[in-house]
Amino acid sequence: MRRIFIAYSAFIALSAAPAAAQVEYPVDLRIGGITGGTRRDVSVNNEVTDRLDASVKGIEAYLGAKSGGIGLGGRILNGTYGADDFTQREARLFVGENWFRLEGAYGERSLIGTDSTVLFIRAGARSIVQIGGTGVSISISGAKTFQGDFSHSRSDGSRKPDGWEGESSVFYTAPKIPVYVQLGYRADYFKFQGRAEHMNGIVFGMGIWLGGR
Amino acid sequence: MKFLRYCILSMMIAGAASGQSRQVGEAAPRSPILDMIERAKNSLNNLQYTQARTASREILALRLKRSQEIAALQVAAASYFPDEPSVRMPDSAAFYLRRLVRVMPVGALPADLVSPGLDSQLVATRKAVFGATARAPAALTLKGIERRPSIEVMSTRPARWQMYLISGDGGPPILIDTLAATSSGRLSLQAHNGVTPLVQPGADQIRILSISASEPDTIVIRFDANATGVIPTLADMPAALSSAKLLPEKAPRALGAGIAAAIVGGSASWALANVLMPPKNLGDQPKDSRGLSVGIGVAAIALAAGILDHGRPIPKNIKANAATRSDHLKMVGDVTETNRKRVSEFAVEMTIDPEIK
Repeated sequence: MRRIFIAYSAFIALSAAPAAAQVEYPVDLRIGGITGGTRRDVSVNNEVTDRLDASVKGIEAYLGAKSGGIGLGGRILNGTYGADDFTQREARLFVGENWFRLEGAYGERSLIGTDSTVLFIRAGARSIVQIGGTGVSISISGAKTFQGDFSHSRSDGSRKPDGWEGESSVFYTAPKIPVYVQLGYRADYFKFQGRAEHMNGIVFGMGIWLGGR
Repeated sequence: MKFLRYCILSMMIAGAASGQSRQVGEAAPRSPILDMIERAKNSLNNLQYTQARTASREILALRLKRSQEIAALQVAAASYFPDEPSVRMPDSAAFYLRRLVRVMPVGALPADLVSPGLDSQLVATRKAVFGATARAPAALTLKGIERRPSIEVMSTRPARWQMYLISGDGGPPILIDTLAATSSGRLSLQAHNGVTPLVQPGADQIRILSISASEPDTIVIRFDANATGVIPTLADMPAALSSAKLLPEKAPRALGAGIAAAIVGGSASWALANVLMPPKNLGDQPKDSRGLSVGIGVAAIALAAGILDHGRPIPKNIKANAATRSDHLKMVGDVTETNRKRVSEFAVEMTIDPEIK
């Protein structure tokens, strides 16, 4: 943790550099990798069966107009908890401006203790606020998970996934090159057919962000 | 006695002048002082040294032009240092030679006055005494900002030179040109410096200061001049670009946003680990203490960013200001070009009285 603070302090110091060399991009494009130590608690039929730590890695991308409007994105997460592989893939649609936009996602997620996956829809909101011209941005998001597979009967409530996800992050984008780093915390809860999992942990990210300043 | 002699001399000059005025149309007027100098020179040539000395002293007591003063000093010096050693008065000769060298630092004595002894004395005096003079052309044409090396200056030892122009209406002296320490060179005249005319049409005076580089001594040389020409009217330069016309190029500092983001981002990270828990048994599991650390980190970074922020650049305003500045520069450029053309067409015909005042 101490190393993280040192690294971030260095970035903050860099942010005090003159901003004259900043480039104005017409789009808001962010592509980066994320990783982080994530703890997963698992329960089956309300009985907690598992509590494991693992590193979850992934890729996240977003593309939208600088002035706001509609944006597209996606995320892939992978990790291994003991003998279980965890996978989540989703496509995202955003509407609104950077400081507040509605977010919808459609994707699939591996089901604990099985080889199958669950389709889901998630809806929520995200806010990214840039702090002046320093290159530092704060992002907060929250979303609720809904049913994604409509081929099954709606009357069977146990087949509908349920859950939520929240994330809080700070980004720093360098002044002359559009490279960002990210530190955050993410938590999600996902339940399907009596199987539930709660994952939370630190998120580190790094990538390219055109329009991050 | 001296006064009486001065009165008689003045009457003679007046009589000669009136006599000559009566002969207007018959012959070119001749200066009575030159006549007196001629007579003193004749006395010297007739070996009447006393008469020559007296006459030259009397002439030097009058108000003389520079050329007359030089001629009189030459006769005086020669009369006190003739070829005959027995009648020489070296101290008196040295007195007049020193005065002569002050106003004639270069050049030889006239052929009818020079002698080897006197010439040696003149050379020796020039080594010891600071003298300076200048030579101006009778007429010249100056155009625009062109600098024309016009006035030749000479001195017995290196001197710094400054040339001023004083308009006849009593305006302040305008420094036209300078020369670094030198014993000979040319000072340049210039009609216009691009902003204001240096030469004003009408009566002017050229004043040259010769400042000895080796001793505290300055000689002032003056020429009367007359200039003709039409001073160009220059277009007014646009006023300096006011900051009121420019848009702010940076947003206000984001300290408030930094504080707000620190509070919201930090507490959100903490809340994700400690408050937003799943239902039933999963929610009873131990809390993740890392959420607090991340929350503190997020808050610290956001707060530091708010404190360090100098204001976010506003590209739209920066672009608009650049266009405003560019327009202003173009206006300045247009006016400058117009004025440059007008100045370059400004011509002054200058006539200079070569007689040093």
